[in-house]
Amino acid sequence: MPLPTPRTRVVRKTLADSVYDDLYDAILSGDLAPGEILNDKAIAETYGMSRTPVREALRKLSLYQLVEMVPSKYNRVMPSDERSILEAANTMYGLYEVCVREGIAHVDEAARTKLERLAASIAVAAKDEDRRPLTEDSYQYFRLLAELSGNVLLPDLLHQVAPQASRVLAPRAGVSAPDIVGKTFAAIHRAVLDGDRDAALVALHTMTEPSREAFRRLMREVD
Amino acid sequence: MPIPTRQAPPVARPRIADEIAQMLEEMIISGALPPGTPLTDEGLAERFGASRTPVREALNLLSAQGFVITVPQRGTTVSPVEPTLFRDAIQVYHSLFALALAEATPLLTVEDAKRLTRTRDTHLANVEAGQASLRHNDISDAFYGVYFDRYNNRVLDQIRARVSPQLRRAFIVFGGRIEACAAESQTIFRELIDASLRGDADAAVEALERHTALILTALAVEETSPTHHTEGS
Repeated sequence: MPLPTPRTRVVRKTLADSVYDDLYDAILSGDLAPGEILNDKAIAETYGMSRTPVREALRKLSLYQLVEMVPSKYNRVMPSDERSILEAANTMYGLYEVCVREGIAHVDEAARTKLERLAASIAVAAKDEDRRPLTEDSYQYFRLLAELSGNVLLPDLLHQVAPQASRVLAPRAGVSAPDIVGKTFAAIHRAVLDGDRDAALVALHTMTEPSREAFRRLMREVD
Repeated sequence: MPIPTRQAPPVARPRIADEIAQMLEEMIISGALPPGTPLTDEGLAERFGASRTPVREALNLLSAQGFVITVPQRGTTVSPVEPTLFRDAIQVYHSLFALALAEATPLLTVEDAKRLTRTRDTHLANVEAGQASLRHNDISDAFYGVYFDRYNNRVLDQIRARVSPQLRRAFIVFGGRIEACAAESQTIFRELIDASLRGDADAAVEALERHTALILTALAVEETSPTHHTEGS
C-alpha cells in the first residue's frame, strides 16, 4: 500500500494536517533543530487543541523519518547529521536520473502542461527561497516523469527517500542554495520540453554535483 | 520530562511477521511458490505454526514490495513476473549502480582492486568457458558489492535492498532470454572493471550504459503505455 504523498494539496485541512504542515516546515527550514524534543502536550497547548491531532501529526512525520517517536520516552526531530542528509539527497538524484532517462520520451501535451506549471512554481519558489514549495514541486515534477516512464517501482522509491532528501535544502546543510537549484533546474526543464534526454541528464548532473561533491568531501574527512 | 498519562502504545513485535515474510519472499523468488499461487491466512498460519495476525502482516509487507497481490473478495496470490518488471528493476538498479560506480572509482583501495581483478580473471573467465552460468547472485557480491561498499551510501543501500529481490526473481524467470548475450556481456564487464581500475570513472559508466542497453535489448520488452495516475487522489 503506497503511503500518501508527503504534501498532497488537501481541500479540507484537519487539525492534524495543520500541525503537520507547520512542523514539516519548521524541520525543513531548520527552525526545529535535529534532535530537538517535541513535547506533544506543549504543542497541543500552543495550538489550543487536544493531544490526539498532535500525536497524529507526529506519527505521520515519523513515517517520513522526520520525527523519531520513542514510546513513553520522547518524540524528537529525527537527529540528522550531514551525512544522512547527503546520502538521501544523492540517492534521490540517482532516482531522478531514472525519471528523466525513462520518462522524457513519454511527455505528452497533458504532461507538458503540468510540467510547465510545476516549473513556473519552482522558479518562483527558488527566487523567493521558499523551501517547502521548492521541495514539493521538484518532487512532483520528477514524480510525474516517473509516472510517465511506466516504471512501477520508481514512484514508491522516490516517495521513500523524498522527506529525508528534502532536508538538503535546509539552510544548515548549505550545499544546495535555492537560487542555484532554480537556475540549474530551469536547464533541466528546457531539455525535458525539447525531448533532449542527453541534455537533460547533463543538466541534472550539474544540479546534483554540489551534493555529490559535499558527500565526497565528508567521506574523505571520515577516513 | 513529562510523565505520560496515557498508557504506552503497544510494543511493536514485528519479528514473527518479518520471519514469515522473509521465508515467503525466498520461496517466491526461487519459484517454489509460482505466480498465481493462492495464499490464504489460514493456510499460511498452519504452515508456519503462527497465528493469523503476523501472517497478515507478512502479506502486507510482501504486497508493498510487489511480491503478492491482494484483491478484495478474491484473496491474495503470488504476483505474476512480467518482463516489464525485470526491465523496471534493471532501470533503477542501473542508475543506482552508475552513481556508486562513478563515486567509488576514485576511492578504490588496493584491496578493492584485488577483489575486482580476481572477479575479472576467475569468475568472468569461467563464465566465458561455460563453466558457470551468468547469475546475478554469483557476481553481485564480488562485483557490484565492491563499488557499493566503497561508495558507502546507506540510503542507497536501503533502496538497493528493495530492488534486488525483484531483480533476483526476474533473473530466475527470464535469465534464459539473456543467455545468448552472455559472452558480449562479459566482455563489457571486463572493460568496465579495467576502466575503473585505471581510475577512469567516465569510461566505466559508459561501459555500464552499453551493458544495460545490451541486456534490455536482449530482454526485448515491449514498450508499455505510460500509466497516468491521478494526482492528489
